[in-house]
Amino acid sequence: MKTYQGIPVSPGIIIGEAMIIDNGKCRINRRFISKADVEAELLRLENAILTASHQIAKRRDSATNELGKEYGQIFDAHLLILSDKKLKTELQRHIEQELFSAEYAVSLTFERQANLLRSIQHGGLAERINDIIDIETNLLHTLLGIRRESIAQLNRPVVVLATNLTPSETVNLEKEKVLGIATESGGLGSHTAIVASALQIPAVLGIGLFLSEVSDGDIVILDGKNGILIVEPDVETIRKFEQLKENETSFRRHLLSQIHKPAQTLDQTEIFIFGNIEFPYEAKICLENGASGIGLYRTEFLYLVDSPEGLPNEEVHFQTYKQVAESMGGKEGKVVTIRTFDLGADKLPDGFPFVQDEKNPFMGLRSIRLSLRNTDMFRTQLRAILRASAFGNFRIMLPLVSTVREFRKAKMLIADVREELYELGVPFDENIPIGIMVEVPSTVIMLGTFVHEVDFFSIGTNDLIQYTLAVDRSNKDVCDLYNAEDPAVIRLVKQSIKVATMYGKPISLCGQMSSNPINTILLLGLGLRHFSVSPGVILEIKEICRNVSISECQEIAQRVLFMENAADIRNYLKSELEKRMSTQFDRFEY
Amino acid sequence: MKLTRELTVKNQAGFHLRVASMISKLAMNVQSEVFLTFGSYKADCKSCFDLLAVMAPCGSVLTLDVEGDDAIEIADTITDMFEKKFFEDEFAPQET
Repeated sequence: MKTYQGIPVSPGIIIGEAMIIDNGKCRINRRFISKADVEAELLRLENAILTASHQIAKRRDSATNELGKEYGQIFDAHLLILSDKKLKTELQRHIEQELFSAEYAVSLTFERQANLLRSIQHGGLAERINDIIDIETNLLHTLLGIRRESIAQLNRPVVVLATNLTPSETVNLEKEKVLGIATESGGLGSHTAIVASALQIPAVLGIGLFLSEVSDGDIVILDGKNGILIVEPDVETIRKFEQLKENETSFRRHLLSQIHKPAQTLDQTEIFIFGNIEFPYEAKICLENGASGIGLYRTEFLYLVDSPEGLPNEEVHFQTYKQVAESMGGKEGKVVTIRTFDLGADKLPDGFPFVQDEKNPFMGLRSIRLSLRNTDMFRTQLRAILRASAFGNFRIMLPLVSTVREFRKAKMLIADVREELYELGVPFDENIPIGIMVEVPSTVIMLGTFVHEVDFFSIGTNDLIQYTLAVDRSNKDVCDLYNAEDPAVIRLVKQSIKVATMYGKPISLCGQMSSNPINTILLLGLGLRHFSVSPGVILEIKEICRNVSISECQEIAQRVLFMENAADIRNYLKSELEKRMSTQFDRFEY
Repeated sequence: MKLTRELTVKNQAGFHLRVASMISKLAMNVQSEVFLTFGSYKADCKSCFDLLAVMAPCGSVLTLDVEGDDAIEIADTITDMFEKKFFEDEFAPQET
């Protein structure tokens, strides 16, 4: 039994079978094929060699262009090896005579060659082993399909273990098959974290190196609330976690029984809890959890899901948005706050042409900046949103706006698209509110100017924290500095709520800060009345609201403003929450 | 016709990947059987994969075996490649 500590990003306890998705070299198990399948397997090998050759040829051409002929020749040599008759004969022999699968034949043959090289290693030529591994990996990836397909093709429910998952891998996760996620890198606020918590898949990230200690099929326990991964637990441990899991289930049962009660504080202030969603089917999950509406509908997944046609067309957008609108009750239904695409930085579709190699992607061409640079792409989405607004109660939200000018530009573009639709006689909601995310410190500072033009605000703490504290949220060496409870962040949140409220503009908070129950009391005390949280915690946050009074929350917030560091604040908030809730539930250990 | 020669690796970088690909390209297109032996390892020059394991640094001595009608011509060409340090530094390697 081995226990690992990581960063908890999505709660829940899972006991299940491990499945490793290794980003580096593939580990291939010995697999036999039946005699009848030999022909098919040989063909599969043949095709894989062809496909891999095409990829390498492409790489050769770009290497030649960008780095010079000498680099191109390296790939030329790779191509030569792939077309090597002797190599092919050996691979075929493994398949025909030993009935090995193509993958295993490749892995066996290349491994032997690599070992031979290792045994006669000479300093300067040692890197040649990497050439062999490179060619092998190319072939194996082709044979196995690209890695993200291997996630999509899980054939039984497993706990996915990986070095790291790319956004496109994460969005291709099949909810029913993924019991939990544990990764070596990544952290709070990374895309994997957001998707996992939206899909209510327990997840622990940033564990550090552990994959070499686990094998496919090992039993693992994942505690997404406390950030614990246990590999091959003993019977006693399994029993303990089964008990914990049972406690969670009963707490959940209690919450569900309260679903129809409004989130009204002890002193009769009504609080509105909205849901954050990414996928259309989550709209239903929000309703099932008693959400007041959708406070953040992320639309990036439309771009990140694999599609042979490249970027999605207007019709794809339109149908998806319409589906969400209808799930939420249509025109007279609950509000849907749709955020225009927040692409760039860590969220880039494969082969996305608009962003060049960036040295500092989070400071680069992302989000609204990308939209305003690629207006054709932006207009496509805006048209679809406006068309869908005829079928629902929509609000448009623009991400990462950092200057008033940016907002005006976007607003003009929206006006332009409206004009177009108007002339074509296409129906849309003419009073659709246009709001912005508050996630750059400059926007908080200038909020007094924004309030005159912007219809509503939503604080995005994930980016606000990283830009305020200058911390890369996915860098495990500095992520301990990334704290929603940092006094600087709390002050910016406080100021935003104060200014927007003063001018009568609705403001909510849709970052992960509001999904964490320990912050509920603080945010209520700072004056927040609209929360937008992961669907999975809506009921819990509502339950907290029902057990506190605004006046006591204000007192607590006041004390927090005198505190100097995140850890103290967190401990204090935790103890205040426990005082009010722990008599009923033994659960708040955030 | 069968002949054997001793060849010395003279270029600084040694018998690297591009050299392997150069020689295998040549050997693949000829009738003769061509082998290079380095220490106890004997590689079929028609296979670049085989040649990969010839990890011969600068200064090592390799044995070339050629057997076939065009053996002399091939042995001369390969000897020339070794002598000219695989065309490194002087001018860019030739595409075949």
